[in-house]
Amino acid sequence: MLDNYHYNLGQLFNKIAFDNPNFIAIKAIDGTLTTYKELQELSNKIAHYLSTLSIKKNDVVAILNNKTELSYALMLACLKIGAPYTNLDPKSPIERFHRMVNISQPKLLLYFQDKNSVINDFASKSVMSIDYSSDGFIKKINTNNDEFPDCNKEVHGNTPAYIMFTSGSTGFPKGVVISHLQVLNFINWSKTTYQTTTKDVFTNINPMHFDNSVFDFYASFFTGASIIPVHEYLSRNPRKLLDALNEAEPTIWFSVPSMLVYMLNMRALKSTDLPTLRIVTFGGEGFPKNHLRVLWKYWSDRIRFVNVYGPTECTCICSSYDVSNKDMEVDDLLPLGHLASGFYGLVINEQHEEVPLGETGELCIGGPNVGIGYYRDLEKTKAVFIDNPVNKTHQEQVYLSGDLVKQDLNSKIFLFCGRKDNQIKRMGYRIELEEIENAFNSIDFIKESAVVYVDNGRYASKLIACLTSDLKDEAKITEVLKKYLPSYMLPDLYFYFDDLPKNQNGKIDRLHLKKDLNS
Amino acid sequence: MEKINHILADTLKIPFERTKENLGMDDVDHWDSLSHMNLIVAIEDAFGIELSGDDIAEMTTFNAIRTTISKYI
Repeated sequence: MLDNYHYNLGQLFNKIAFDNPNFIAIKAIDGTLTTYKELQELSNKIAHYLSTLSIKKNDVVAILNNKTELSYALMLACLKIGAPYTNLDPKSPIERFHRMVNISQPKLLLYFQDKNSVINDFASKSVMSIDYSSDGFIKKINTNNDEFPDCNKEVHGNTPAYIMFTSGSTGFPKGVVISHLQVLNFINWSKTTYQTTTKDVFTNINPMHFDNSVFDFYASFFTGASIIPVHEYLSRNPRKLLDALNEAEPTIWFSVPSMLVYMLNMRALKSTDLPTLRIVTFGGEGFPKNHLRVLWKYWSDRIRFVNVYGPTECTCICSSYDVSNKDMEVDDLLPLGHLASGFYGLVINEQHEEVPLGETGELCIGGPNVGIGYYRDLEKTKAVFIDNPVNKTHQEQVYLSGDLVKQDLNSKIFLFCGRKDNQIKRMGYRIELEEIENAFNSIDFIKESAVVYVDNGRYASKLIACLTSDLKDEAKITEVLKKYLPSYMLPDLYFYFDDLPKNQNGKIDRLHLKKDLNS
Repeated sequence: MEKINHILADTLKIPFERTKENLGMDDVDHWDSLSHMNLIVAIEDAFGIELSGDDIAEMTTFNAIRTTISKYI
């Protein structure tokens, strides 16, 4: 019998695998099954192999993750030896990839062969790189023993578990660091909120470099449930995705609302799809009510709908809200809900004082899932991971979310009111508009740029670049932008101006531009 | 055909010349779910048609897109 006290994620997974050796951990779309025993042994072997490469606690391991049994085992192996992993987008633009590598400074980069992978353009000799899809890798792994690694004892609760990159306003992505203890708490929360059991089967549609995948990975593998890996090429074809999932029989679905909207817009989803599903949960952005109503009509008689909210900096999710019939009667976005047990939220003004109940202010989150900060960036960390401004007796770290919220006077649930900065959400991805503008700075013929996000009757969910430029060569602009920006950040439309409007401080007046585009 | 090629070039952010090839979803960096949705909407608007879910599921290469559209016009 293994101990029930786990102070790191490696120990918890060890316990889960020990208790449920023959349960299915991975249900691949092609029908291949991986048991917990197999995943445990594979990840133990990799953990020993990583040690032979001198990878130890706190060394970062970068993974280009292809959602195979092996890539999940790589993540588990890193957790077991306390080496924080960072899943990087295999389709990252090369300059952005360089920036993430420079920030995380991985001691090892694990990749797989793919004609579209950024690895084909990455020539850095400074990082040890290994192709984990090669036969040679498997052979090497198999020479290692499959016992749980001893060095796990040294992995304490505050050891970083992973680094998740998100958009940064200076043009450089930010690496959010989350510890083992924070994830352990997150797992407990997910078990309680969704009442998960070993019989549950989770979808893993979210890309591994995207924060929502934290739920898929930890809520499934660390409760003894199963996961269905969904590759990116399949998620682009919703009808084929649904056909495959109907076979694989998931019980819990988690995605951005955009994915569900995509399935509806592509006329792929039928009310009879996913008959085994018991929960559909979504977050990362607001769910447009017109689409939500359609989904509700299809599924609400048999499936629980849960809207979740949480910044990457607070371990994926920190509030949830069970949707009801009453929510279909109003056009407002769904509430963020109550913060998870153990969390607290302060609604504060610019002077960092609490605003009266019902007034709008910035949501400041405190509690066990508030992350460690940004990797190798103390300045940005200090700006938003601050001491609780209301607590005058002792130090207590809270996260300034940048989200403007207000509390309902009666129920006290949080309602989303907007952002205090220029961050937007697109397909659930966080985008700092300044990151796009910074990419324009690398194009020598562009004099000025401002990027606005417009969603109205005329322009539906469009990223619009407003430029002053002597040359209007959009093909050339796109060619340069693709080196810095992932596809979801590329502008949809370009408008040219003689001069961009300025405010009283001489800065580009984005609000003025937005107003013009809305009129 | 020219009309389809312009839509492909604009929504998938590729040079117009490349629209003459038979590229698939895996050959075009920018062909993700967001641009696929924009592509389908642009085709429906431009040709005044409403594609079925089954047809959309097959529209994963340039040739398949051309074949599907020709069924409607």
